[in-house]
Amino acid sequence: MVVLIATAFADEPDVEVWGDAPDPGVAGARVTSIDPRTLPASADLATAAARAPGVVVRRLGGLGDPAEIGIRGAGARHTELWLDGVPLNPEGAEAVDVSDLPLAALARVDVLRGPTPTGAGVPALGGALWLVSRRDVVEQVDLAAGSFGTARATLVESVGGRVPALLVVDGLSTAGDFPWYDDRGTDFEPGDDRTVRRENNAAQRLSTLARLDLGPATLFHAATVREDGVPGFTSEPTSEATFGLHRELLGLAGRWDRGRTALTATSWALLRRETYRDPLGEVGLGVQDDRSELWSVGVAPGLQTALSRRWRGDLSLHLRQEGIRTTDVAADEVAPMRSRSVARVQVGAPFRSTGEAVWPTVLVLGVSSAERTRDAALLVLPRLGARAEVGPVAVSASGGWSGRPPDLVELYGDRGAQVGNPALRPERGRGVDAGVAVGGAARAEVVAFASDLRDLIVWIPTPQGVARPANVDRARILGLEGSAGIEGSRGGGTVALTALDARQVDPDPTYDGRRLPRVPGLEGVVAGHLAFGPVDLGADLSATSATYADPANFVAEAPRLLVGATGRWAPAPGWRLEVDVRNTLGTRTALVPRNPFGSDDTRVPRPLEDFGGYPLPGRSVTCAVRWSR
Amino acid sequence: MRGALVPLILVGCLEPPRATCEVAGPHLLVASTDYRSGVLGAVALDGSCLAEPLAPAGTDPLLRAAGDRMVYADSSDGDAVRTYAPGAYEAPLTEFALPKGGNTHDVARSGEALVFARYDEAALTVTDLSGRVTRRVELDADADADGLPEADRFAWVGERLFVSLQRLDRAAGFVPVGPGRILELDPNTFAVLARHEVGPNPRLWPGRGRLLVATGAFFSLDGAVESLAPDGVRTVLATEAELGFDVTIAVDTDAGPVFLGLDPDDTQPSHLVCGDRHVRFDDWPRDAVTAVDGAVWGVSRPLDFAGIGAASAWTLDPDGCALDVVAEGFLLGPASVALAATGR
Repeated sequence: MVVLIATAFADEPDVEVWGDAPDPGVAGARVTSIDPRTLPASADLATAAARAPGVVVRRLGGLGDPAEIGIRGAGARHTELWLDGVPLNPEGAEAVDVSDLPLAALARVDVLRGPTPTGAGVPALGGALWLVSRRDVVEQVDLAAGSFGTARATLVESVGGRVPALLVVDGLSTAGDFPWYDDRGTDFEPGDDRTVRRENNAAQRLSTLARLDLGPATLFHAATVREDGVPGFTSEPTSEATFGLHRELLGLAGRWDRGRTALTATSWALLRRETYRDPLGEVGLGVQDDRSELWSVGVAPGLQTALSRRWRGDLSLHLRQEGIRTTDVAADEVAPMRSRSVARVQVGAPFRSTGEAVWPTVLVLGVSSAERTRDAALLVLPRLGARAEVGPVAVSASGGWSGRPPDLVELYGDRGAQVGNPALRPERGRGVDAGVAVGGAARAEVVAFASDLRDLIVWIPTPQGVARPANVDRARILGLEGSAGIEGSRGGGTVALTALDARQVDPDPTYDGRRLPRVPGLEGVVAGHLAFGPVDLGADLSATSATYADPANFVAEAPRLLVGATGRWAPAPGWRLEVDVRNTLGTRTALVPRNPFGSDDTRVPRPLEDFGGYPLPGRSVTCAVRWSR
Repeated sequence: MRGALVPLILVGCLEPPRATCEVAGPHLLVASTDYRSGVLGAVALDGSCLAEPLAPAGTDPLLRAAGDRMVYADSSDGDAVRTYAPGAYEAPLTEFALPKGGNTHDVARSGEALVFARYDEAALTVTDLSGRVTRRVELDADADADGLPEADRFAWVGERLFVSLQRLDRAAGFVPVGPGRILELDPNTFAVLARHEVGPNPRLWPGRGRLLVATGAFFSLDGAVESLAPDGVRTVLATEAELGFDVTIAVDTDAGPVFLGLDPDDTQPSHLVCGDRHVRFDDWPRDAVTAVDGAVWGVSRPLDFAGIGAASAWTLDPDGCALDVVAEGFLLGPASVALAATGR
């Protein structure tokens, strides 16, 4: 049940690491590996990532509702997601809703924090989630039902032999009608507060993952179909607005070893279709019936060759063509297809000897649009990592530049309330970190980091009532991450703590020096379990310090403490029953000052939120049964 | 003390800003926002004090002086309404929420009643000062094809109360599909007394013995500024094509009508026209109010996307055709202003 956190800073599989080694392709990163099988039945990918230090998860509600991940104070677009080596949102294009991805399909969730000198060439300003599909031979069926009309069924079927294969089918349905505390926007009048249920928040989702291992090559396909209600802000609840998603990912990857040289290649085709319907004009400006298609095809060959006993040469390419087409169905208007080419080239020369290792890399990222307009960009992003081991103690440091060119929506808009800006510059970041790790039966790591993010793209309202992106924001972030874990035959536990001082740098004194919104100064996750024969009892605790909801830091959000509890019973071989309770204390509100600018000390309850106007649910219970062999 | 200290430490020792002066006597109450949060502030008419922040506000705030009260409404957070005693903004006298989703665009007071123009409802909502809904004035008969008349703003001409209906087609992206309407309301019952057709998408301001109405689609030069007499006689004062900009504020002054507006290119400076004088300025004029003595007070915010201009409160000098700045340095961009004739 407990999360196995394997923290590694390693280059090659034979380097001693804790727990599962990270994929060689992501070596050199600050990696926290999480085994999804140890998480509760109610968990999703965001739950998994939240167990790592430095991660802030923002949800629009409960299970099945959209969720985003920010790493080390950066935003959701600064987190890249990779599935089996394929980028799902390269350069942060379309911040991926991590609730889309089926956790049961994964063997490992690696959380890469900070600027990472990786073989994959990830230039993300915050970090990355590196998802690895499972390769165990298993037949597994999970059935779960829980609060708010939630039901989930998962089938995992994999075979070994000469042609190993995996099939995962995961279906989720939820009414999402959780009760929430409605203060009606009247902070000075608590007498009219009430508890109501969230409406138009149902979600249905079907996700599949299929993989076929053909010798050195792997063919895989992942798909997600979902249809959600869009409940809208609590101040303007909706009844009929909906969002639909259909995503197909087809990938082919291979690795060929020839003596001192290894050749890798990944190719993919990704299609993402979204529909947004607001037939009553409840959300935005008027009736909306919009469709968008985003596609991406790419190939990423890589070459690793031993230059000497201690030096290795790495070369990786990432060539991608992508496009977007938006359609305003209501107005019967189809925008022209916008497309562009992206190339990443990374050269590295890792050096490794007994006890020491150094990873210098340079990543060059180039973007060129089909129209040859001003969105062309060239980023040169050097990085360096180093590590030294003395017995069980490892000291390491890394640093480098990162960047993100503007995505297609930022460049060209969505034909709705978002108007593009082809003159945008890439976002840039630079950062360093240094840490000490101790391995053994008990493990611990402390990492200090600093980063400077510039030219951050922010959507700015215009007098016309629409928003247009511009490069305006800058942020300086200092942080300290700590994690520790221990696992024994009778139980174990982990702890992940993060202290962040993330502040805006802005010529406007209203914002200068203020904290980045919704990035807590202190955050911690503690999880533990005890096994009593076939029974395993666990608990987890998530604590978040006060944050601000707005860049001016005028809207304070109170500290938050959420407690979960999970009980598992294995009555017979292959069977497992589970009861999981999230937010055990049923916390739905926090007290905040009703007028933070006056002498009035009165505090009033306000609903817990990660996004303004989207409350979080209170206590929820999930009952699950698993059969496997 | 200890109770306050712990959350302070947890939040990173950031003290919320405090107003550094106190406004006494007549003043401007200003609501500012960056669309992510908002605050209320007060400006002494002589510019000696900008007291800000005084209270939190929403991201779509509206302020009106209503008799012996200042009324704050916000459609971004539950259509909450507060009434304040002028000068006492620490806590409201009353606070209440109108039914959700109405999108309050304006409020007027008549006696002990408040009447709300709600953009997303085909009715005017009438409450008492405590917020109890006492009446709905149905406007279905004045709606366009989408069923909503888009009731926008009230204006008094003497003792006569008017409301503008913009009648936009939401199915086609909020474009005007026909003439707008100005309704005259019974100030006691708020029943509709008369209907006057005007140009499309009317924006309404009280003039001197008349109404000033700017018409036409937003951010296109297809409209005009009309004068509408209480008995319904219309006169075109100027067309937007002649003016060369989109009129966002029209006021009557001793020197005649004055128009302010935005350039069709939102990166270019704004416009001010007083008679035959035409000047440009860098700010985005957001709201203005005319005092009993005829003085015009207003607020501007920077042209955010263009990155020019500054947040300011000003008074209009119609003879010099200038906006004389009374206060600068607002924490956020001013969005609405009301004139409090009295202070604490």
